[in-house]
Amino acid sequence: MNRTEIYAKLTEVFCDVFDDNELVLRDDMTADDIDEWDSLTHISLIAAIEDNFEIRFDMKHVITLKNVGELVDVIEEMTKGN
Amino acid sequence: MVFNSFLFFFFFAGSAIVYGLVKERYRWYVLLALSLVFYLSFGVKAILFLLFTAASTHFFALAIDSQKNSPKKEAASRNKRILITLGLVSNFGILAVVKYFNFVVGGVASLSGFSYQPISFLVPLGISFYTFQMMGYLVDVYREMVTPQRNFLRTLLFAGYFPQLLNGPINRYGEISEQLYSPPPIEYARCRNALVLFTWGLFKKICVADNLKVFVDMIFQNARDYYGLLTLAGAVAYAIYLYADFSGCIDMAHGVSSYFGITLQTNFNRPYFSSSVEEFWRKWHISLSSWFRDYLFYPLQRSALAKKIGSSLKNAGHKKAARAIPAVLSVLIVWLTTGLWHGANLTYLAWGLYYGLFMMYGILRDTFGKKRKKAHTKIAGPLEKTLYGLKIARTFLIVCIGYILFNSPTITDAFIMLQNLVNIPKFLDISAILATGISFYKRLGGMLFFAVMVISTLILILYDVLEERGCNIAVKLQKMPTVLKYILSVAWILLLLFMMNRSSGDFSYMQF
Repeated sequence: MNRTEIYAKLTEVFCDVFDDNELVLRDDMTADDIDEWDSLTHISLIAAIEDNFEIRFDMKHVITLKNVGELVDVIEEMTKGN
Repeated sequence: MVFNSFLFFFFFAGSAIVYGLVKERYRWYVLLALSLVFYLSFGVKAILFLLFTAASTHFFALAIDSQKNSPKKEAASRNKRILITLGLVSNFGILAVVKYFNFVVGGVASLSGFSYQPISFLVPLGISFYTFQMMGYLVDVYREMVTPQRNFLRTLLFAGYFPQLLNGPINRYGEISEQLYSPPPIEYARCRNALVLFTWGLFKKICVADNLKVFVDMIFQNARDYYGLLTLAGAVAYAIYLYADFSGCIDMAHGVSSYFGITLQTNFNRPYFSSSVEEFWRKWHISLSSWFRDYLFYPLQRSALAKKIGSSLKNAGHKKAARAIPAVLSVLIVWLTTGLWHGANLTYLAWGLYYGLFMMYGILRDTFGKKRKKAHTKIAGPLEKTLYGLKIARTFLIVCIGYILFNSPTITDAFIMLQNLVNIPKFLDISAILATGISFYKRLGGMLFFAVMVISTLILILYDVLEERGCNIAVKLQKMPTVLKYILSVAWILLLLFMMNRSSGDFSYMQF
């Protein structure tokens, strides 16, 4: 998958988890930019991404990912060849 | 040798001189030696516990890392799991025995009708802080988030770095190690700011906390004798006392550490301006709550059991419940553990349960209720501002009631105090309020100390209010005319020296 495809699919996941269809993702977007993005929704978000992209994050990723850009990087790496 | 003692001032001054004289690449040895001397000042036995924790963590971290490059992935993964379990049991085992053995065995004996004579254990100062810090390091190595330290002396320094040793903050190896082992050069501006921060922490401790503690002890030690407004005043005084005491201690730790060029984790962010309980816990004792989030809440949420519960509910068509129920269970476990982290007492367990219930309610409300605006959403208009202020007041009241559970000597005292709090006929007993006020005034030592307490508390509150509104006080002070700065500095030092003679000594969180 390329970044554009990842962004499109990831936006759908974000909209579903945060129950907000107007979300527009950016590389520098963090938890501070989205209402409701706390430790609980973070876990739900990670689980939803795993289900949708058929990948499995390490706990390292769960804790250290700082923004949407880094999240897309990791997904891109994990879905290489798909 | 606590931070608020003349002995520590001399120790710190001597440390700063030695540190400055030694070449940069050897400075971490100085920090290690200073840390050992500092901890030895509390007794010889305690240091053996610290050495054991550092040694076992060091060994298991290297053993886990050695599995990384093994060609047999499955066996390596299994070995890693065994090693991390042994490492955590070895670390937590000591804490469990010295802090919780009597509580658990005594509790079981009491329930079974047997009598139990508690065993007297030595509880090393700061054990909960350094044990959790080292367990975090071990898990980080297991998760391959950090490369383990190969030099044992460096691991020992990470475990026992003296500014953080007794009261935290609980630091992360990945964030502090580079600074610890290669501290930056000494800079005048940084050292000056470090000393100012140290004295600000000292001010909070000896001018605010120690004076308020006189009133807090009066109420909490005689909970049965006070009702209504006085009980509430005791809880509010405890809230201010604990903030001044704990954040003051952390400011002093930050001050000492930043003198050496090492930045410790942030622990407070004006917590009493929170508009919800969830926000309060993002701003209070941050290093502990983020520890529980990363090392307990996330693993619980991603555990096989949580996933199984979630999938079952999802398959049954309960999408929202599939998200909420595992989280509610995880939060309950996290908060009961947080309560017990503070000590083996039913009061702490009740306090943990109290917050656990609030957090569980928050999850259920957010999942099943209407969509709400988050705390940091911009607030405009007088009505919204008033509502926001009321939310802050409500959160503060919830926190104060929690402190009744937290600070009462026994769970029975806590319940009596809660009962007395809502005793309406005696809520505003003017004669009792006057008598308590006079008694407090006398115990405090008269007008001078009363004035110091009131003015210092107001300064602390004003400082936090201004900072919360975006005013940078440090910059404002820097811009003052030089003469005024000198006059203020001299007055500041004289006040601190005068109040030092009355200091009670220990910090509240040292007992944990």
